[in-house]
Amino acid sequence: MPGEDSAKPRMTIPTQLVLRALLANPTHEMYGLQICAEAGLPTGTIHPILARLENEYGWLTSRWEDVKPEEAGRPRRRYYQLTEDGAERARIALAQASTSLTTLGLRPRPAGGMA
Amino acid sequence: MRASLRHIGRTRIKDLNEASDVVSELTSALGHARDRDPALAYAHTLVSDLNFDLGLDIALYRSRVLTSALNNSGFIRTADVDLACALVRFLERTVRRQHGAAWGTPVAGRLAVAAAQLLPAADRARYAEEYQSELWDLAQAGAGRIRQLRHVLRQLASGILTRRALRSPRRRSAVL
Repeated sequence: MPGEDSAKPRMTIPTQLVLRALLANPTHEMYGLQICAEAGLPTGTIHPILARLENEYGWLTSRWEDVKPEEAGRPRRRYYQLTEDGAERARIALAQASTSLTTLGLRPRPAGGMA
Repeated sequence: MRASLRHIGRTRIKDLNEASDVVSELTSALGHARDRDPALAYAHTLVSDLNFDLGLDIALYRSRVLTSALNNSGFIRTADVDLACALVRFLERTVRRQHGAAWGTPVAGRLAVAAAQLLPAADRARYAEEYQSELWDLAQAGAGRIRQLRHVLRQLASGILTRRALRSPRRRSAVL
C-alpha cells in the first residue's frame, strides 16, 4: 500500500543491516561505531541511515552518554535505541524486505570488531 | 603579543600559559554574545569548561567542537574564530607530542569538524561532537592515521545524505 510504504524508509541493504543490528537487542542502547561493527558496515557510513530513522521516521531516539568528558577522560558518546513503535515497524519492514538479503545471498556479519 | 600576531590573521599559541589566556579571552567574548545565539551559548559552555589540568585530550576534543560551534554563528568576530582555531592547532601539536597517534590525528580531527559543517546549522555542534567521539573510539581501538582518515572521508562523502535526512520533515511517520 502506498500509504504504508511512505511511512517506512527505503529498505536498502545497509538500512536492513543497521535495523537488524539494533533489533538484536532492542532494549540495549548502542553508539555509532558499535552499530557499524554489529551491522558489518564500514565506519563512517551509517549516519545518513541513523539520521533518517531518527529524524524522518521517528523509529530511533538518541541521547548523549551520561558522563562528564573531563572525569571520564574521553568524549561522550551518542547512544541510539529503537523506540517501541520503531522496533515493531522495523520488524515488519524487515520481514517484508527479507527476500532482498536472501536473494542476494547476504547475511549480516557476526558482531564484534570494528569494520 | 597575540594582538600583534592577530594582524597576520593566523594566531600561533606557543605554550599553555598563552593557551590559558586564549581560553579566558574566548570565555569573556562568548559570555557577552551568548544571549544572542544558541550556537554561541553552546560554545560558551564548551570554553568555560575547558580546563587543561583535566587532560589535554579532552581540551582538544572540546576545542574542536568549539570551532564548529563558532562557525555556526553569525555573531562572532573573525578574530575569535581565529583564536579558537589557534587553540585547536596548539593542542593538536601538544597532544601529538605526548601520545603520537593515540588520539584522533590532526587532519582527521579537522576533517571531522569539516564534515559536520556540511550539515544544517542546528545539527552541526551535535555531529561535530559525535564525530570527534567516534575518532577517539577508533584511535583507542588502535586505528592508525590511514584508517582514521578513511573513516572521516566516508563521513564527508555521506555528508550530503546525512544533510538531506536532517532537513526532511520531522517525524513523518507520526502523521501517517
